[in-house]
Amino acid sequence: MARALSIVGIGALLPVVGLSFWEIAARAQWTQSQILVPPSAVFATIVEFWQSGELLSDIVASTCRVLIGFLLGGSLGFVFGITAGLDRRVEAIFAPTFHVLRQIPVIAWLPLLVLLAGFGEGFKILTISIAAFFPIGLNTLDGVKNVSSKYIEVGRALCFSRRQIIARIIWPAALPAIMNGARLSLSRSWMLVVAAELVASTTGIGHRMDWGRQLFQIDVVFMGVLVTGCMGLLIDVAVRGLARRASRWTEQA
Amino acid sequence: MQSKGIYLPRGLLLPVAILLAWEVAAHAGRSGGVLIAPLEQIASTAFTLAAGGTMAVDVAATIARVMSGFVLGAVAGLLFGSVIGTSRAADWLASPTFNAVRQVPLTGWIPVAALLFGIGEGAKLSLIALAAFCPVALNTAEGLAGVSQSYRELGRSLNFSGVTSWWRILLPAATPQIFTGLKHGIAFAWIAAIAAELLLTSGPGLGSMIEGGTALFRLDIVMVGVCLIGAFGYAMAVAMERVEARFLRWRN
Repeated sequence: MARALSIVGIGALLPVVGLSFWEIAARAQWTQSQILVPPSAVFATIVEFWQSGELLSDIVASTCRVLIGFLLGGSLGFVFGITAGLDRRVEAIFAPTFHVLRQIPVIAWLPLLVLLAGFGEGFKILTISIAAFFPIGLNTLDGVKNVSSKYIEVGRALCFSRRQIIARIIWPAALPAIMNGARLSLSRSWMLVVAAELVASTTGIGHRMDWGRQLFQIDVVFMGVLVTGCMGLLIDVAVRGLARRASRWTEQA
Repeated sequence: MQSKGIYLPRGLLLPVAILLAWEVAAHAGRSGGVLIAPLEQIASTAFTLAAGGTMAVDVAATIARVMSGFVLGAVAGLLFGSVIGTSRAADWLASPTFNAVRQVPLTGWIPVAALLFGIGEGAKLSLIALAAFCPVALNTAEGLAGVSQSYRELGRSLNFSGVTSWWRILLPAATPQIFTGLKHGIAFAWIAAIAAELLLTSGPGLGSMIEGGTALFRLDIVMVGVCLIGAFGYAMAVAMERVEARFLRWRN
């Protein structure tokens, strides 16, 4: 216990020293104060935006976009991965195009999507869907295809039907890879929602940061950095917990 | 043999269908004011941009930026990862902060970089370097921490100094994982460069090229840019794999 506390204490040392130095530097005006505001001002800004409800509505707006886009793109990617992984003909038709398209960073689609879908909600959801589609699609495809043939032989020896093989062998064997893909998809979605909101939005945490940048309010920008970081961490921890449950069977062996 | 012969034409089915649909939509939409550019226009724009030399300028600018940012970030990541991967005190001291910084999505740093460094080269380079730094540092630290105890003892029994055993024993032993970090690093650096050029438009570059195309409602320019971004990103990934294969020849 004492050891754990001392580890946490050492880990906190760097941020505490850094933030104190930053606070002192800003207060003593060693730099232009409009560029480097003290951490206490950032904290006050967070409290202010939280109490006015604006911060919460920004977080809700961004999170809703991520969830809708993730559900759309992620489920499409999942369906693609499963069907192409199970059926060689489907794979032969769709996989080459899939592998070419996934080379293009999603962020490069932003201008094109703006031109085609305008600056509205559709463009943001579309961007996030594309971001969510590829990692989960790739991981599902690989996960289903890479199920050890030994497992499938066992199923055949037990006279499993094709359906049983898929449900009882391929599905649990591919699940850890699929969950890993879902995790990647969500973190990409979170990155792209910020980008899409920076480009064109009137709500959301990315928009709040862009607003802060245009008004030279770096405390607002740092608030955005903190919030996006915390949200990213929260999402990652949640999905990681789910992923661990999905791959529990691998530890029993 | 035969299945391979069938595989390729089948794989071409979908792209041909998409391109046909695109072409039909472009010509049908002409009158309706929809701005989908037909394929022949995209091709001729690509040719004009290539012949006029602006394409080469944009491509070269982005590649130069990615390269310098990547080298900065990767070297810093290699050093930082080595320190936290070999010293437990440094690991306890710096890893929590590093992991906290790592949680912020790359795009979240763009407004910060813009305020601190303006929209010029400094902001872009720092974003690219940061993008490369994180995966390289993470994988270097994990790789070094995972080097087997017997290798470490070898260094001690040969009376190697800390730096010598790092350079001669630990780093080579961790090379496979370091390359995993470098491969992620170059991919992230490429994404960061496009994102930075797109959102902090200044000077030539592929991101600026597609942003400029958007401002002019020129879908043909945007499409040429997107294709170039995909192609050169892929080329960089392949180049990195080649380098890795050379470095890791000793494994086979």
